[in-house]
Amino acid sequence: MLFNSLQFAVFFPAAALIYFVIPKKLRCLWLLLASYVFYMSANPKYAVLLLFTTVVTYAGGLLLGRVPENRKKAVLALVFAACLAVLALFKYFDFLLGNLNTALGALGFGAVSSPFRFALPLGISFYTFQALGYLVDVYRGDTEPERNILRYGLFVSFFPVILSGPIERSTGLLRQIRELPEKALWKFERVRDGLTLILFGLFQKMVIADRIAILADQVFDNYRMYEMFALMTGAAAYAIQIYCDFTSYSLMAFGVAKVLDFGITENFNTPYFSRSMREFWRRWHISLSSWFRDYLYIPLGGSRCGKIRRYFNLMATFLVSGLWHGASWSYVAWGGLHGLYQIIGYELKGVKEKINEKLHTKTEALSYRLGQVLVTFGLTAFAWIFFRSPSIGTAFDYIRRMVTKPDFWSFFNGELYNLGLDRTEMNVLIVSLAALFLVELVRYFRKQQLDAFLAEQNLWFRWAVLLALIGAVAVFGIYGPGYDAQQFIYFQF
Amino acid sequence: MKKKIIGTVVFLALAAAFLWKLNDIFSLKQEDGILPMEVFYEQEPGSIDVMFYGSSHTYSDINPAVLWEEAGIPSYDLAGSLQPLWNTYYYMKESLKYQRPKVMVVELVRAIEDRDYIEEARTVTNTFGMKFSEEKVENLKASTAEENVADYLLGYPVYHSRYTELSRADFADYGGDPNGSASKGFYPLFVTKSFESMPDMSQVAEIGELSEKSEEYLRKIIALAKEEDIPLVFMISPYQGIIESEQAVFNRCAEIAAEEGVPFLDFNQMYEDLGLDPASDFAEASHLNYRGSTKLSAWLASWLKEMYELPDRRGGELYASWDQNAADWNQKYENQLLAEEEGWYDLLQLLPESGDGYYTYVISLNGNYDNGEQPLKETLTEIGVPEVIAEQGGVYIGGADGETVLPAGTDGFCHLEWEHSDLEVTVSPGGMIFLYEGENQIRAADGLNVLVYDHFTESLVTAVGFSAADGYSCVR
Repeated sequence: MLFNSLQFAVFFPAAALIYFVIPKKLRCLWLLLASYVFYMSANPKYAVLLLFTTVVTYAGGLLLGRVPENRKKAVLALVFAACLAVLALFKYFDFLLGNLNTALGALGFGAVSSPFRFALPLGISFYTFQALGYLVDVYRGDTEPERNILRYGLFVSFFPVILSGPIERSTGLLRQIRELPEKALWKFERVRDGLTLILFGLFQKMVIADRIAILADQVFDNYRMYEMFALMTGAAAYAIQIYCDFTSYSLMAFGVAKVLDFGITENFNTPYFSRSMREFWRRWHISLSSWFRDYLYIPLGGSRCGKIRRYFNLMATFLVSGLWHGASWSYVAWGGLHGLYQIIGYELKGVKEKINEKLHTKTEALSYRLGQVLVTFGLTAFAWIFFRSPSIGTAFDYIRRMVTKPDFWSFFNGELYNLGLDRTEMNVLIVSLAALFLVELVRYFRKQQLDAFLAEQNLWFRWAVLLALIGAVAVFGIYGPGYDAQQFIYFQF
Repeated sequence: MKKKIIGTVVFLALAAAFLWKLNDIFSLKQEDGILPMEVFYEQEPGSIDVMFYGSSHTYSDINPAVLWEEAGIPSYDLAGSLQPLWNTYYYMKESLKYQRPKVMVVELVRAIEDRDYIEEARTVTNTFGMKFSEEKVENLKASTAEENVADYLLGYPVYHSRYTELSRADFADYGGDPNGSASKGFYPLFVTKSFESMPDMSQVAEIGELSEKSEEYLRKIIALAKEEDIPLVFMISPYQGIIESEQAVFNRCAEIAAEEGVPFLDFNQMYEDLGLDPASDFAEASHLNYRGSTKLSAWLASWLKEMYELPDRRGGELYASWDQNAADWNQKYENQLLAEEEGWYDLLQLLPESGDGYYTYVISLNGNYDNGEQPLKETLTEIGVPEVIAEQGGVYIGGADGETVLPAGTDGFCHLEWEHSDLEVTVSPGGMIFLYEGENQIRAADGLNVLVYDHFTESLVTAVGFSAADGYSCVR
């Protein structure tokens, strides 16, 4: 079930209320049950895979605690292989087969047909990575192996994060689960703040993401009808869509966890205000970036090695990250492009500094910083074109049209105001984006989420904001029959 | 802690009130299907003797005001456009919880429906007026896919996106016309399309088939009437657009009706009995207009009265709203005659004797209004327009809002404010303007202009000009 569904509106209050009143000993079991109910509401069959990954990594963790040092690597490799095999089978099999068939075709052989068809199990990339992260932590001795299967089961399946992250760590979520029996759960302010975040998440998802998606879909699905500025608008719209879509889910997960008195990773920190691509990756999908940093990039050697090796590590990490997002070459291209951005960033650093020195550029001036933010956003939005396009060829075609066909008149003939959204819808979108921008500014400059900011304000202001958000979601949210609910984009990954 | 609890309760109450108001504003207020059902609940319990059910062929073709005036039969049209038989069945079930009619008439044109689910907008039309009840849930389950039922039941998820089409009526307390509580579900069509003749279906002997779902619900309707022990009548409204395959389906309905002992009135085979005139009695290919519906309703009144020995309820305690409905209908009928009038003389003659005192009329003589050919001045003075206006031009306002005289050539202004609209009349040496709801209603720059507003229906009846240069021909 989605966070913005009627089922969740019934499920969550019921689950939370019972959680608050049952004996402390039962809390873990209750949350585990609730998590499985939540996960199985979409497709009960896939709970088997969740259970498999849980049991295998649980046993792997216990084993790591027992076997001698020289066998640990083998255990780790075995469990990794088992979990990644499941992931590969369900997520990458068709992709691998497709590529194999292309190769066979090129060599003059006939194609192999797929023996089965699977729908991608929800959240599989998220919980697999979460479980594998735990295993590495145990291997490194950062955390004790968890002996209680209920606790561990809850760590892997915790419903606020299972579908779309954040990817939690043993040092964070698992530690809190271990402390669960000692917690004093009910605190008015915390529940209020959690609900405030859920409400703002709903606003971002239903009012902004699902509305701007109409514009982005219109442009990407019909890109041959459009030229430079419409295509740029489409790319920027998709950049905002994917941000609002994903960040709203993370925010709601954060709010849901907060109500239950769990602190989880803040997955996004105003990424589009970044002044460089390096900074962007510190602010975007933080739980995944840090996972790759800690469990892939650094083990490969990280940046404490020669230049070529460092670039190789960077590229490998970003290509794998691309593939993690989806079984298609266009995701790999997206990852590769981001890797390239990083390498070019390193290479140009010296040159850029020299030029700035020569021109006496004031690098702390607002205009310069704003310029950096815009360039970074432009580069990110450009890369998203690969992410959104069905194939690399389409992405290149999109880009070719975007750079070779200037259509200055589209600023004047109303075309940019007519990309899948009518005037009223466009006005709603613009006002909503302005509201989001204000909230992002507060986050950036005051380092506060909306709940913390509102808690400091006067009652009338807090209530006015909350009522406005409730009204906006109720009226301008995109939901109801006739509307094909936009699935949260990140569920597919 | 106490403070927090009070704060939370107050906030939740505020939020609930806010959402309640939003629901009020966004809820659908259409006269098709939804309002008739909502207004049905307001009827005096146990007051209705004849219930009519069905599609638009019911609510446009059968006028309860005529049944009331002809035979004192209190009746009600509980119908929605393109209503399939499953919606009709649940409308019947729902209505029987509130009324105990002596006869139920089901108009069966939509027996031709062969889809399992009709388009969403019509499903909304044929379900949303119902109060929350088991019947409503069942009606929705029969009408739409399982995954939509919860949203339809809540309603709000369906209509919240109406923010692009909100109008003044959405913010008013009552969405229908001012006498809507008495309109008894009838929705007259005041347009006319002329046809040369009636389609002849008398030769179609073929027996067609109903879709499985339609036949299932036709039989359920029959069973319901038997169970409730209420006489049932089936009818097919007369319509020009009928085709042979549809007649074949109606023939099958007739067959089933005969098997079950239900009277079956196929008006496509009974034009002559009704006295329908193809040139004047149809609104378009599917429906009768107000003239045609009067003929059909009068026929039904006498037939029902005779067949079922229905009592004359006029003067009864429970039936004031039917008197009100008849008055409403008569007013609308007179308004229509006035609106259709294209001769200046006849229109002026009609003015004093129509409207039952509810009219405000504005008469102006603009520019070179007198071409010397016709007795304009005399006619005007005859109906009470002061001589100063008849002689030198200007504006005369008479009727329900009292008299105002604004002679031409001087500066004059009059503002009339009504329930939902207003009128500004300005006279200056440069000319004159009738501003009704922001729009100038002067039609003839040189000639006679007449605007009539009806306080009973709270609507503009007509704004028409007669151009002196063209022999006072009508300009709309």
